Amino acid sequence: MRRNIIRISLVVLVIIIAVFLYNIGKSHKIYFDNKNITIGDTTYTASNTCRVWVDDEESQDVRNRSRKVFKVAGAAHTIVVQEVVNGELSGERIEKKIKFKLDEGAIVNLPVLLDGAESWYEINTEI
Amino acid sequence: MKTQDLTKTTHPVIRFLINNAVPILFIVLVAFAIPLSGFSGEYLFREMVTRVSRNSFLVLSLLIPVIAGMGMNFGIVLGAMAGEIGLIFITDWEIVGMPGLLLAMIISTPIAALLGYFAGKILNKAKGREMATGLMLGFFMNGVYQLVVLYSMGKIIPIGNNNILLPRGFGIRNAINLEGVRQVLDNLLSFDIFGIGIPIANFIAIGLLCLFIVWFRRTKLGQDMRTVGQSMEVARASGIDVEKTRLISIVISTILACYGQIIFLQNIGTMNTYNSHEQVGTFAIAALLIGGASVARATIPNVFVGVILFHMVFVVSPRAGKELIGQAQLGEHFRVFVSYGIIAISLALYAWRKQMEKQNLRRQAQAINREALKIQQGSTIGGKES
Amino acid sequence: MVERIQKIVNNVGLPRIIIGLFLLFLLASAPFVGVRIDTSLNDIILRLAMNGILVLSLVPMVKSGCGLNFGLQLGVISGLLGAVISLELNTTGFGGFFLAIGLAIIFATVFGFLYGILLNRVKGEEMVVATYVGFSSVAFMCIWWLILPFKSQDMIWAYGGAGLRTTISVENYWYDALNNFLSFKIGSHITIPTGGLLFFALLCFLVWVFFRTKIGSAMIAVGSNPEFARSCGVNVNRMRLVSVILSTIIAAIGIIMYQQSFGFIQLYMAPLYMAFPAVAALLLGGASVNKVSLKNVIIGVFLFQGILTMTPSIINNLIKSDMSEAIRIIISNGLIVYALTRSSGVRQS
Repeated sequence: MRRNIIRISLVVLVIIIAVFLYNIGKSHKIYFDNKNITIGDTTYTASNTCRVWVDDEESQDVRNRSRKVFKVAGAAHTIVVQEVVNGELSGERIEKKIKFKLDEGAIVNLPVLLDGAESWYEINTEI
Repeated sequence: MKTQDLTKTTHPVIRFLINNAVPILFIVLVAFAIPLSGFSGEYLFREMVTRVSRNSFLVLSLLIPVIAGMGMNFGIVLGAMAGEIGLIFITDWEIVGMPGLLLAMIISTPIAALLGYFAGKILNKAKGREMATGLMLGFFMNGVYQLVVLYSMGKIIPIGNNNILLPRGFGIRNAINLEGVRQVLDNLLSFDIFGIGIPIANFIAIGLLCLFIVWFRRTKLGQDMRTVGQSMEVARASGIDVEKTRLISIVISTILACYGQIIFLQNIGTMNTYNSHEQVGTFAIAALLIGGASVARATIPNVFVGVILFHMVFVVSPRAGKELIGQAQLGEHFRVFVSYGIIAISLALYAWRKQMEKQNLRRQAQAINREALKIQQGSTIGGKES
Repeated sequence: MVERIQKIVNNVGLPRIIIGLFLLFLLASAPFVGVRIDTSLNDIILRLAMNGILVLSLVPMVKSGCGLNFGLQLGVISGLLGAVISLELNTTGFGGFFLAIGLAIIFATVFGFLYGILLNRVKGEEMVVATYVGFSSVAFMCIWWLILPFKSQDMIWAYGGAGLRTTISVENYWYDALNNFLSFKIGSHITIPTGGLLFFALLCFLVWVFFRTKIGSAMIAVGSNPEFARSCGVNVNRMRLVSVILSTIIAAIGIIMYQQSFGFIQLYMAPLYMAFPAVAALLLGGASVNKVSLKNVIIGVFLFQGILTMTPSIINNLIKSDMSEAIRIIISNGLIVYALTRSSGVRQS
């Protein structure tokens, strides 16, 4: 009896670990769009290249009217964005947090983000 | 305890040479081939570090069934298949990094245990020819694996990732890119010696497995296994459940092989869905035998000596073949020949020795009989006289 | 009732029953999926002539107690050597075919002799040793196919490559030399390869006769009870040696027969797994590790080739995917695993 309890709890423990690993290991795609976009009545225009950092990944430069993608693992991520003008970093360094459920990814609209508006990203589930 | 000596000579040096003939032969071979190949020492050292770190775990998984007297476990192919199924799932779910690798291990453990149980049951029915049966079992399960992976994945077993599914909508592609877990274990804790990256985490895993094997031999179960390996009759007489002990040894070996294959494939970084496991048994066994192991005795040093020598031949022979005859292909064929040939020779030598022992026993028994007969006759004659 | 069924299952063997039912199912479903029975039958007959001798080659070794010959590749290699030399000498038709066989027999005698000596040293472990002897000899010959000095333009690589090609066509030499002999047609879809079938029958007959001679019966005695045979003054090792040589020779003839039908000589790694289907066919025919008869050979080849020809076409039509390869692997290797788990232990004296 006691043996069985120990065994079952071990199995349960392993399953919990598996679920935990699934969550922290699940990869999500974050797209960064540096394109003109209209949300509601406001139009945000893309102008400069943006340098983007996600967690500890290597930074990528998203040029005007282009898109870059980051593949990251786990639920919570820190995004840092800064504009690049003439090859030099300039302007404000913006840091944002983003959180995913399983099977989610996101499209980050950089012009909106730089503008400081609320709806700077949209979740997409079709990965 | 049966002696493993090939010779009756008492001279210690000659004894050592003869008992370690296989590794010595390969050391000589490698010593000739290295200068021919023209590879630099640094290159070879780097290759050896990679290859020892990715293959040792698989070879170590062979040790436990040897203790139980079941010989070389050709059934580790089954474990490799289980590991690959785990990797297919985490690739489908897009679980990356160390969590992905660990999850693959967790998923494949029950599969490996189940396959090991199945293999153990069958090998228990084929006592005395475990090796031939294990070998054929590997081929057999290859068909079952194809049925599962090529026909039911995406149909019966849900797989959603189009990157790994065949265009027809079910079945897994021939090659899977394991970019999510590529070398995550190797790079987890790696540090450079003379510019050569040493995958410490790998070696820690291998070291832990060695410790496990050393510890396991001393447990009650390990001791029972040794008894079973020496004589099933004796084991049975002393109340050991022979079948169960043999079964457990195969289950452990299969699970370890499954982890070994996962470690191997994360280093390679791509998986040939239908071929990666095919040669696992042959190569691991050939390496162990080149290291000086026999069907009845295999130690941890045998594993490392064997892996290094076998892979040295593997790395060096194509280039040596090219320099010698002008054809790299020749070396390719040569190394395949070596891996098959070494298994053939070692198994033959072992069987031969066993046969000789049996003959010696028979001769002794006959001699004793004759003696007894003489004494009997003598006494009857003496009886008449008195 | 249940007991009787169990007894039958035990006697016939579960895998054989499953495969038998499977074959029946295939035959029954053939008309519904639009597969012509007569073309299938034609295929099966052709394959009987093509593979029969390879399966027959296993018989002497089982009879003498050497077990299933997983080292069949040695015979195959002898046959390959004979075939490529006959092509190199530019011989065609019957002449070429029988020259190939003649040369192959010489090689097979030598290889079989060495192989037999080895197998005599490893009694009880013949099968696993034989498997790896077979594998390693195939790999060893790969080296020789590369460096042997063949000159024929039909056999070496066309552009600058060295060594023999992986597949060599025998079309201009002795393709169907034997099959076309006295061949005739039944209906529009069945062609009987009379020559091939006759040759197979002839070899079966020779083997049958051999086991009725004095040496043959001594060999059977060695197989069924070596201790008894020894006490009767039979040289056990020599009998085993003869059986191994015989098996190797027949296998060499078998592979040439196969090439003659198939139209190609396949070199390098092609013969690697050739032993397994042959062994599986024999087991399917009712043989076991230490019991065999010619009936097993013929029934086995017929059933096994029946499954091989029927599965691709029918299964394809039924479920729209080609599972025949996986089914073939499972059937042939499953049969061997099953046979190894039966009749426990090799006469552990």
